[in-house]
Amino acid sequence: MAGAVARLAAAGGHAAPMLTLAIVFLIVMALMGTPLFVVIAAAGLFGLWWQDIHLSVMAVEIYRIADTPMLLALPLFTFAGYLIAESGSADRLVRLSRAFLGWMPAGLPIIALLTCTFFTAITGASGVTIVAVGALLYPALKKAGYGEKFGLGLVTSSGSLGLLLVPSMPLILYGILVQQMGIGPSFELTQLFVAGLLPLLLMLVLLCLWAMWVSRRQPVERQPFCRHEARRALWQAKWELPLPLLVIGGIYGGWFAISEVAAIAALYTLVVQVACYREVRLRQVPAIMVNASVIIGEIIAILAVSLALTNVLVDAEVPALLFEAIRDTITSKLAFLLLLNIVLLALGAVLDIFSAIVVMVPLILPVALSYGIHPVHLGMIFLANMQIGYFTPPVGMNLFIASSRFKQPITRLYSATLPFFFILLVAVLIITYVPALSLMLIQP
Amino acid sequence: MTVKNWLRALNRGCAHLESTILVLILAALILLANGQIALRNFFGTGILGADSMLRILVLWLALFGAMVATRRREHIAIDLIARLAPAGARGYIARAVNVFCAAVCTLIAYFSITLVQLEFEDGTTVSGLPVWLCQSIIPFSFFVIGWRFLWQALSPASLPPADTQRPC
Repeated sequence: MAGAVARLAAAGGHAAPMLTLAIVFLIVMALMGTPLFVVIAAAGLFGLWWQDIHLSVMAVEIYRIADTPMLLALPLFTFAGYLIAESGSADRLVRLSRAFLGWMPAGLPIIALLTCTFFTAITGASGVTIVAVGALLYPALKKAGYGEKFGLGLVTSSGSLGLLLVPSMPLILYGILVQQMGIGPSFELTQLFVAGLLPLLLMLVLLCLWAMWVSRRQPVERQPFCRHEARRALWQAKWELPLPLLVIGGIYGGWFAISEVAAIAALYTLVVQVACYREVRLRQVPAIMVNASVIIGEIIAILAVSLALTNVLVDAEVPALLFEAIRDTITSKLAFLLLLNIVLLALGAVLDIFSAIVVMVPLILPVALSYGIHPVHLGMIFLANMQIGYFTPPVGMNLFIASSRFKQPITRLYSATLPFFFILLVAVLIITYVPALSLMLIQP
Repeated sequence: MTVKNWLRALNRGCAHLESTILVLILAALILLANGQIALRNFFGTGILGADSMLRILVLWLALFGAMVATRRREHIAIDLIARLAPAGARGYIARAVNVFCAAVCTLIAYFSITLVQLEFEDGTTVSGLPVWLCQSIIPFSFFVIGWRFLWQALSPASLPPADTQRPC
């Protein structure tokens, strides 16, 4: 790495120690709590100055946000997700899946996994799944006879399950970013969404098997299938059922563009929650709109300034230098993938998923391409690793959220999530080393 | 009324205005996007320039959102050192961070004006609107964000207690 820094410095015509100093300074500032969009913007400004480019290019790059049609989907889906999180949808979702799946062995954990997956996909992996769905399921799991530790680990680690399912924001963001970079084999966003299905299925199957194994000797309560209850649960959820159909049919079926699906979903959810279920009052809607816009502002601010940083890095041939630096030690694709897993796991535990995507993808994608990795496959590896990062000790975000929600010490959550961590790690390794799993459905 | 109180009242007024603008932009996004779908599918027509309008609204929504995020101190950050630091040092760290953020944002705002000026001279338009007007949100929002960081650095009352910070 030191060699790469020296060569970069030579290209810029300024003194090498200054570049090192700037990098160290920015890392220290970031660790001291500087908002990441400021850190990334500062790095971008520094890079522009280093290459003697006028700093107003930063504004040009920020304005590129207005040239990215796909971005429209983000605020609309986020708003729909926030509305759903405010309403009683979690109750209805759990009731519905209990009515239909409660009779199965380990039915309740399987319900937990499925409902968390759907809820995370639509609300974004912001920890709201743990607060809304986990809080319903954790007491139910305990009551049905599952161990406290198992229940705690299950709802905490499921809080980020569903990142690979449409309309999860990180998945959309990854697709947009790669398309903006315009390198490597081109692909449609829909292909990225389809590719996520099998890896997600793998994770779900492994977790379900684990749940069955754990509950094999425990006298857990099952809910026998009752046609009456099933009908009632269906009737209760009648307004919400069209929503997954719209999203899944609209996007996977190709009826609509993703931003159109997002627009319809936002309006439909608003009408249903305010007028039909009346769980969200019209008076509350402006506050929900502001909250949704703020999170979008945070994410797009990071994306906007990172577009500038990306261009600076590409102009300075940093990805090429990075590739040269690791090419001598990392000769095979397998070794590179292993390194990638380690780096991403560490990154996922400290950095939030959006910053990690916009900072790391521009650096990693060109290198991964030169090792012959398909961008869609890279996306699966990236997101699956990040998903584990959410509950990797010591600082995974969902550990803190679960700790405060369930009033449990953080160390207890470390041990409760450990088995789930290893199971999902196995899934991540399979996803990483079996590219066919991600690419099978999209390649003829 | 002291200058500080006056500034505080101004801050509150601006905060209210900016939340209202956010709600209006998001509402416009939802209505315009759905209107476009309805027109296209049922009437085989569309609003001229609606697509580029939507994209510009996304930019405005994001930058207004970022302004509110600064006010609420909700920007995504890693605060590893700040959390490990002794309580006495936290205030100084927060001030240093805020001053740095104010400087970076003001720099971006200052240089964005150049872009807006150039675009103003060119006089290009997008769906009937002058491009410089669409871009003017960039210097404006970054000045506001920079000002807010400076305000947070200078006013000791606005320092957050350590335990309200995000865990990531």
